[in-house]
Amino acid sequence: MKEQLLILGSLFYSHLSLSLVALLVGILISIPLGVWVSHQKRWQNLVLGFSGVIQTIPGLALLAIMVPILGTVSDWSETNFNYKFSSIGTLPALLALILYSLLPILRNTVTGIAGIDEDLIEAADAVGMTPKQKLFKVELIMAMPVIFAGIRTATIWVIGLATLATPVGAPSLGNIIFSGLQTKNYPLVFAGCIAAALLAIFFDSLMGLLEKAWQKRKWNTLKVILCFFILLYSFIFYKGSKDIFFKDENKIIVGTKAFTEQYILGDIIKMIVQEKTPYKVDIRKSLGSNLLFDALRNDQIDIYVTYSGTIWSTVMKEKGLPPSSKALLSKVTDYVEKKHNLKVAARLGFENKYAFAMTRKKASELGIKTIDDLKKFAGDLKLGTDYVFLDRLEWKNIRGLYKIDFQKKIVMDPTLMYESVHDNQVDVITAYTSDGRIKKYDLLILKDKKKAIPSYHTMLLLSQRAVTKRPLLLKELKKLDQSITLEIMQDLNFLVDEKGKSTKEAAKTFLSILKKRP
Amino acid sequence: MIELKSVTKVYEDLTVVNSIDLFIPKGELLVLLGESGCGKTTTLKMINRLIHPTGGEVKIDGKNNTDMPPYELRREIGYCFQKIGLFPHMTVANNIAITLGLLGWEKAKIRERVIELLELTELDPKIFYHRYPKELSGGQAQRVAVARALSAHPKVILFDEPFGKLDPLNRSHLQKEIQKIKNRIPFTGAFVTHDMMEALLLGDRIAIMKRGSIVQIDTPKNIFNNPIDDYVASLIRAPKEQMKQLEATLERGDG
Repeated sequence: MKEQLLILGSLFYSHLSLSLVALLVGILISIPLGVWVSHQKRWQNLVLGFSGVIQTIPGLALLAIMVPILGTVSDWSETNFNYKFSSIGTLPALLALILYSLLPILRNTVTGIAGIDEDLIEAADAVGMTPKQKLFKVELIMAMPVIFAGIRTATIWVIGLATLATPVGAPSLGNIIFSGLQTKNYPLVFAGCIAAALLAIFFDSLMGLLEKAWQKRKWNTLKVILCFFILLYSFIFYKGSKDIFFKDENKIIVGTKAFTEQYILGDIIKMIVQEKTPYKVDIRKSLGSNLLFDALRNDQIDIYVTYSGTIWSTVMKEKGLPPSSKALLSKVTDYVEKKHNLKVAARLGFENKYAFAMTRKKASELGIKTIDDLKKFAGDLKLGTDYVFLDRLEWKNIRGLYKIDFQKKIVMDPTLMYESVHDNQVDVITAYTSDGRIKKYDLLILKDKKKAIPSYHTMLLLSQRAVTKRPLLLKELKKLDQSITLEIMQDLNFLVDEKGKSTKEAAKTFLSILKKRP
Repeated sequence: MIELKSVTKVYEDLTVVNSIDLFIPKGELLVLLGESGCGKTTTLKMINRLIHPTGGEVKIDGKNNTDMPPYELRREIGYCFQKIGLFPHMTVANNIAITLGLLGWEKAKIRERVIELLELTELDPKIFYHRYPKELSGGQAQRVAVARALSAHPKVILFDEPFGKLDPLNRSHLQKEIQKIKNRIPFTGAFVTHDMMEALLLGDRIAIMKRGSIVQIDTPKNIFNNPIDDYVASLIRAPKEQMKQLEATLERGDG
């Protein structure tokens, strides 16, 4: 409990500092820009239009798209200036949030200045103000209430959107929301949402108070609030610069994708490394699956667990029919180790691949054991599947090889698939073979005799830096080779998904199994 | 001293001011009189460059008014207009002191000058110094605006129908005050109005404008007695009748 509170506290702080820095930069950009376009009417529509377009991009997409954009810029800067920067983590999150904060402040600055009584502008000219004096002594002050309203809107937007910074690798309250949703830990999800909401309400009210104090000329209240902000920002920048300039070189960063098994494996790795080596470990949970390989390649993370089929299809971008399980594994290992100088530290011993699954009862009623058997009935059956399967190579190969299609294909959250096949809401699902619920609901995995689905051996990858500079890591993690059977992994997943255990508890369970082995 | 030489203002194909020549000697208040749209306000605003002439030149004390940046020019010219234009976020004192602050006066000197101006415009400094514009009546606000226009000992003061929106009582009060101030500290200026009565009361000379040109320019007495044409005569007829009303109003106002 104490540890959980500590984690919540640190995520709360990350969330807060990320949002506040984004807001500050947003304000510093959009107010001057707003002032400028107020006096340069022909740019006004262009600038407002551009920031309006940004606003229409869904938040998650805006954040995600920052990663490849930054990656391209980083590559370019590396070839031209020999300077490389991180395309995941705080930077893309910050950029996206800054962009998101622009519109409300920008628009309100323009509206605020346009709304000033013309007589006051004439008076300001007539008393002999220079354009600059007019701006600071009259225009900005008169427009301030409207600008303030814009800042408050931006505050709420940014704090809300910062929960989506998790998949690009910036820790935020989104971390516990994402992992809570995946592991069905709803109190955790609520805690994350409520904390984010409280943060937004707190800063909105504080800005409201600031505005009121200014309008009512309560200078003391104003000073207190401003001091609070100055202290807060000083702390954030002080701490931030320390983190940037005095990077903890002993820290090992483990990346995980956004599902239960990955969280458990992350915790297992963390526990082993912390027990057996002097290194400290940070887990970056729920990273976007496509990010991880690049992040490892660029030494932005040190360790992550992936699957041979994933590398084969999404990284190597191989198309067509997969080679045999063994050939694929060695091809992928070669690619990873020779082409990218990464290290496959261990093959954990189980596969987590897609498989058609149905209840044993229905399968035996219809006499189905293989995908071939399924073909006869598929025209009358409903398929439940996750968000990506239908766009993946697996589905293309299955359709090509078996000439199969379903009466209806229903896309749903992967955590719901197993229950819906159990409740007969769908007839077949695209299960993940290591999921504990296959056992719980007694599902039958249909055999893929024509080998349409590539194999997904679990591989633990290490970055080049981790291998050369942290030899202890490889030595210890090697011991995980062939250590987890499919059954163990299913059980561990089951503990979390269905028994309400935390991923740490599941990891501990595994380590105690490991210790009992000779 | 204000000098306008064939000053013209054209908006697209509409000539608002048509090659006007004017000479206002030092210490004279010239009233520009005419119906709405005759070009009198445009003429006035071309003196402190709130409007830029299409042609011709404006000289103040012999210097072309385009010789310096507009803001420097305007700090030497008092300006008081119908919309008053007090800054709502500044106290009365700060409103009056704006130009002084821009000119870099010392704080103590500014304070002294503000009190002097408040007294001159018959506003009790003890009551009004720290007030904000929204706490003032229309008449009080216009007094503050007059004080602001006078603040920096301007070479020239421009009035653009300053009392047009006030009730008759306040208007005559302020007209009398302008007269008093003018008697105490003679200033050079131009005063735009469409009210003949006001023109006759305040002007050392009156220039009557029609469709962008000056029809007649002379002392109030001469204009009153010898209108040059029917238009001027018709303008004068109205105040003759108003005179009686005005007297009645002043009596009540004094009572």
